[in-house]
Amino acid sequence: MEIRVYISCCGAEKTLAAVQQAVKQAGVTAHVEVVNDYAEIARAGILSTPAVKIDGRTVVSGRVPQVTDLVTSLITAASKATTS
Amino acid sequence: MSEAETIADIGAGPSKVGGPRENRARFIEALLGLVAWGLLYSQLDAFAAWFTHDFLRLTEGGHMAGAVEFFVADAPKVLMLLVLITFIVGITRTFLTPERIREILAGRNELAGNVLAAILGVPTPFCSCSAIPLFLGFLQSGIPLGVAMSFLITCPVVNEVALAMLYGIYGWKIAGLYAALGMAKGVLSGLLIARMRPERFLEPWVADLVRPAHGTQSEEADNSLRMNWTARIDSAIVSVRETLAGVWHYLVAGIALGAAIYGYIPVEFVGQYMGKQAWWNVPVAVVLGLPLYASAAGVFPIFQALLSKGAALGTSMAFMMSVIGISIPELVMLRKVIKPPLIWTFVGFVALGIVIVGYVFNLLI
Repeated sequence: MEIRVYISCCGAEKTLAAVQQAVKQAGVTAHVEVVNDYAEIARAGILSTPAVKIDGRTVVSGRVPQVTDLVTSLITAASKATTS
Repeated sequence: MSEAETIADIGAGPSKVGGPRENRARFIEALLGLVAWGLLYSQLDAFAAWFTHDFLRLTEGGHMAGAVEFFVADAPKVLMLLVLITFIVGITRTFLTPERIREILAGRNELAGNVLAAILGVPTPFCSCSAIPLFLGFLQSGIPLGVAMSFLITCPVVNEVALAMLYGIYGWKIAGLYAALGMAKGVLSGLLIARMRPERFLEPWVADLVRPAHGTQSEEADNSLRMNWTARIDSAIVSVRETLAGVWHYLVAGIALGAAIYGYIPVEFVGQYMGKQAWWNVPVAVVLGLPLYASAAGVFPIFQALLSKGAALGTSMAFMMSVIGISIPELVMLRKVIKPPLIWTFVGFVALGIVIVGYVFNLLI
């Protein structure tokens, strides 16, 4: 699955760490892409960073996500991907 | 913060969000918390007096007694106000997400847009790095640059933390005047900037981005509708925790500086340089304050101490607003999207506006 992490400055490292840990915990294979270009962020429709999109769906924006929440989102996204 | 429910929503469907019973329990818990807060807050002055005079037996009017009372009364007061405000703002923010603000502002005509932008700027937290994506998002949905500037100017200057602390400690007149003048300044600046054809000062890539062809819709614009009270309260608690973690060092430094001013800088000195009769001190306070940056919670104790030492209200206010209003990192970020002429215009309007607010305060109060 495709994970995009949108960061500008605040909480960038924490968010990335949370995403990496969540991927590990959820046991999914994911491609994590970091986006820190303002134009890209704006085109993605993100209004506040840090933000995370999983397979094109925004799961968090404007704050550093909790690992447990990310794990839940990842597992749901994975099951959606297999059923569809 | 609105996103908790997005996660809950795609997490496990409605069951994860918590039933109405859990909702009600959480709501009652929060109400009880507020009542406990009120009881505790109402006892702070009495406690400080008792602690200073009966418990430590310090003589009334002494240097030490003053400093100690400042600490045991004002420090917890400021801290408790901070907790309450960030909680209330946290709840507000679950309704007023950036997406929602953009929705409200889009398609307004100019004046109404500027006024709304200034009002919405008050409870919106504003860290220098959240400014750019939000600013771009506004422009993308066709919000005029002048309106976006009104938001950008009001947002840090009329700070919800400063507002609530002013209200809590100096009453509604001063707090109200601060808010009204700050918003008026945002509205006027935005309107004036719009007259300058500011679009020519956007960086080329930004100008490209905001052309209608690129308009993007963010799919979670209606998030706030799906959020229940459990999620709102939880997210407000998270924002209280995050805010406290972020500002406590400012707060401690501010209180220590405030206490030092309170204890050791003589009244005559402050009165001479920061009193009403020295007309030049408002612009000087702004020039000194602009390059400094601290959060409102940190500046407030210094503001309080200066005021109690005989500094004029407008001068102290101008200093506080200029410290929290503009930061160098924010300008560096802004430089990535707008060209220097507009940056300097922005700084100029902020500075000039604060000077005017300072003089008005000195005249009226």
